[in-house]
Amino acid sequence: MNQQYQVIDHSPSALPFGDADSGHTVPYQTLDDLGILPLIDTLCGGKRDSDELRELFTTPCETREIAETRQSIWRDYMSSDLSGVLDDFSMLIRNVQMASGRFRYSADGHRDILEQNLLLRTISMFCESMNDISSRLHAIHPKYKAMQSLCSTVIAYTSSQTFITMNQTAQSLEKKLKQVKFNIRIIPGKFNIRVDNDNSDEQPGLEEQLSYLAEPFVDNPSLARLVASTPQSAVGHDMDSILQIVLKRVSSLTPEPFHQLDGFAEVYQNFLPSWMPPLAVQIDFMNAWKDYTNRISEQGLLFSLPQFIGPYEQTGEDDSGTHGFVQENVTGLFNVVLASAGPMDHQSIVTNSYKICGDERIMVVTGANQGGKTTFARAVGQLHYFASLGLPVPATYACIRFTPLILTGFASKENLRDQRGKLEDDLLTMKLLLSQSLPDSLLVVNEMFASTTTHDALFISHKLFDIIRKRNYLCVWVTFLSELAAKPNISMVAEVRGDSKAKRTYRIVRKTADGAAHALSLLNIHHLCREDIKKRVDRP
Amino acid sequence: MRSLLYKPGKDGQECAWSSISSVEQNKDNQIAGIVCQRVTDLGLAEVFKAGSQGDARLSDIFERLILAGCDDVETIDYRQTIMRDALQSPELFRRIYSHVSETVQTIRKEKLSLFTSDYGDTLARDGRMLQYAEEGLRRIREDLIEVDATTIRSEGMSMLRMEFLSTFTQAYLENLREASVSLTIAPFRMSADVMLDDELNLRAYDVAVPEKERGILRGIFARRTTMNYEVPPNDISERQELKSLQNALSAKAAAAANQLYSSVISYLLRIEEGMAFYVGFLNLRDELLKLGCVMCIPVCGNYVGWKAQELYDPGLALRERICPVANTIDSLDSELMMITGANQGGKTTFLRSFGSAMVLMTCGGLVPASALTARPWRKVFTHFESDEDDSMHHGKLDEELMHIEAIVDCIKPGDGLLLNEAFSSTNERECAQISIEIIDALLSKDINVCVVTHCFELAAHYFNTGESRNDEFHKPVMFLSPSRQDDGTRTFLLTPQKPENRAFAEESYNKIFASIDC
Repeated sequence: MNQQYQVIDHSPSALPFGDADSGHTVPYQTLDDLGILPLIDTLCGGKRDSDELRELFTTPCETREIAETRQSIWRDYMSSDLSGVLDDFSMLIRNVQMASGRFRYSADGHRDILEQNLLLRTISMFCESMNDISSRLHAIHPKYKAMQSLCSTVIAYTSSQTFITMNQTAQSLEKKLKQVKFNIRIIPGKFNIRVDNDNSDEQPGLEEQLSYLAEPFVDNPSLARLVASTPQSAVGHDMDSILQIVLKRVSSLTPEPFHQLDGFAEVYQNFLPSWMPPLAVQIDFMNAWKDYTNRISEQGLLFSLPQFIGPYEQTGEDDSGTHGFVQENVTGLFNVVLASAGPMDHQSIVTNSYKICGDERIMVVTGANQGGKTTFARAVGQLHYFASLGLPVPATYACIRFTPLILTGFASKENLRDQRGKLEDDLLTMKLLLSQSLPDSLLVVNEMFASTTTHDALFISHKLFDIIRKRNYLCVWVTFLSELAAKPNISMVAEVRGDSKAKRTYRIVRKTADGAAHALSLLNIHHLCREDIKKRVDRP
Repeated sequence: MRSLLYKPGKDGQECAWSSISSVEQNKDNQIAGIVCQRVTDLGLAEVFKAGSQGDARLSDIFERLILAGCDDVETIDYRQTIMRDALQSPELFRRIYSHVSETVQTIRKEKLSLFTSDYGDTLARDGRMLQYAEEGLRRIREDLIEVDATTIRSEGMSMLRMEFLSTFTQAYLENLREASVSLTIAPFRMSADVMLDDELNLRAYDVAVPEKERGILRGIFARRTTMNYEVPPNDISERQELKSLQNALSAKAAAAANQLYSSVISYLLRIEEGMAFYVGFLNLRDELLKLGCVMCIPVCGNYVGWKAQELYDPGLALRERICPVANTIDSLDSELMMITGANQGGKTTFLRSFGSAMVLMTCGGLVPASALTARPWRKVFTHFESDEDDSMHHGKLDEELMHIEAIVDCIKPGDGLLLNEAFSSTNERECAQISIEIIDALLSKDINVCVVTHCFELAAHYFNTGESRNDEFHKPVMFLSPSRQDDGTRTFLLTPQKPENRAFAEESYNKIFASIDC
């Protein structure tokens, strides 16, 4: 850190989410199985594609306490105007860092005029923005301690004398540079620069001549559209050295402003306080999730902060009677991948609810093909995953276990291997999953052992159920074998609407599995019934 | 600027410049898929081939315009009057087309010859391309001036001629030439008034091509206010940078040059596009005449259905080099046509001939018949039974329904749909139920449907409800079947007939298996 700055002491609480490098990064396969890899790419790519940000999104909190701390920060971030200001701050830091990337490396002694000017512009932009951010922070009073100290740190920085001087110097210097004017005449290999205002040999401008010729075409709308899209040739960075030469000539014809620029750059080369960048990444983390959840909420799909409960912990909910303690209770659950893709076929995304009580541990999902079984299982996994990051989850209400470890077993997609090979693959996958033991885990299993005989699949599944129950894991198990849904497992069924023309609703409900096949009413599924067609033809 | 394809004030949804990009690139993939399907189903590839006569660009444009169709009857009418001119003076159309397409090719070659964004190369190149364009315009002007004005009857062609008489005058072309020459010089001699922007880049606010290199010399006498710089002779990269700087300073002038170039080229492309359309049909007509098949300009009218004389399948004619069987049908009052009957009786061929005629009619072109009167469909959609089901994930019926879904999402009132043996993979009852549901819905939305089917239950449904359907909401259904002579020989002609509950599979079987001893 540059010594000429008053170093502002920052306690760890200035970083609301603490150090990112505690906790274990989630394996790639799990994110892939849950279908959220592209989402995380989007979340990280939109702002800055930094490893730090990705790490925040792929590292669950180690303990329930850390997750709950994050939740309280999140409450502060969302409940005031704070998020807007902080987002602006992180964007500012990002821009400054991007600009710094260019001048930072040539810090050894020599600086050319262009680099000096880049620094000047960066500082001037930085000062203006920081003043704005600081004045907005003045008006906000966060409830949470860390936020309070963060705000005052920023405000203190902008009222320091160093900052004020830097700002003033930059402004006056910029003004001076803009007043420089000259004429340049170029022939291949040579140029001439003139700073007087001699216009004696004025020629008709080339532009004028050309636009006159284009006149007959202007009245044509489709041509005008084309013209508007004509790309402008950009001033590239491939001519820095000739620009330097020109500027050197200009600076010797009008030396004053360039001399001052040199001095300025010398003094302010490392102006950015070192506590700012890591803070910006954490704000990005919150901001990325906030933007995303806001966008999804526009479809009427709501996110909420989950309440964590332990396996034998009494909740406020009264669910006495036969069921015993509530293990999990979730309503309005949806799959973020579907939601990200937007509404399909003018149908809103279906939300689901479930409840796990007492000794229940395993939800077995059966039902119609393409009825939303896997989507539901993934949604449960996603719910627990985002909860473990300390973020709001895709459900209107969620009272769940804190599960820092989510295990996913998805049947391999390749069909090339023989039956036995596939069965063995699946068994190996399951073995690997169950060997990563942690007390609080969620297991998401999708269509495993689908290629084997029913008898074998039932046998293996029951064996695995025993292990899961013994370890007190929670589990979502997608299968087409309705026998597996028998008690004590919870039977969840991809619902088919009860009227004469069966219809997939993509709703998963708790009821007895009946294994009903349904090939009927294809028309309904394809939205090709008489009225559907009329509506679709009438669309705007 | 006039178009030969769209009436003034009716800007086509496809503009000339879109032909620069590949066909249908801007369109939804789904629509593109359906369009491809239509080409295959109707065997239109042969038609495009005959129309373009090996000219790749013509083929591109011809195909795109035919498949795009027109949105309204006025546009069809507009094109038909120009088509009459083309039939009257084919040589004029061919000559203008060859001039404009040559020009466009030359310019394109010039454009492709330069890959760098280096220096005023782009400026000089724009200058050269404008020179070629000027030559092209000059030649088209000569074509149009030479022609006997009384042979031009259509609004479109008269407008084009007027444009060259009044706008692209000798004087204009002269100025264009001068400007393009000075663009080619600019890279070697340029002067710019400059100020510094925020990034200390030089911003030119005026650029000119001076008559002489005076400034460099004068600099010697005015040392206090001017400075010269000469790039060291061996410093290639710095020399390059100076070029880049000059390039950047002339950016706005270059943009103006580019704008002018774009305007001119897109005007040329528009003429090329229009001419290609008519020349394509001239070629197609010549090719079919060689086989003894005639084409005509169809009559558009506000009818329910259509009637035709000697309607044939042009794809079949061109592919087999024959003059195929032609049907004469009057179905002017029917919104639904049902074709049933024997296999190999000419049902699908008939559906293709009708479909091709409607596609060619809706784009404003010539149709494969000696006469055709119809309500033009806005767009023609096809659903033909596919031979193979290569998908593992969905059943064949599912695939078909997905295709119908895709069609339903594109189809609009005023369009037409051709169904060929749809849903034949399921049982008869289900096939009929599905078909009726879909057909009824489409008919109620003013979409004509033409069905070839094996499914007797489907045909019977419309036959039995025929009487009650003929009211102000429903028009009668036309039932056609392949006719045969008394000895059972096929004629491949279709005649109006009541649907019969018997396919001729047994017959086909007997014929094919005749030589096998059971």
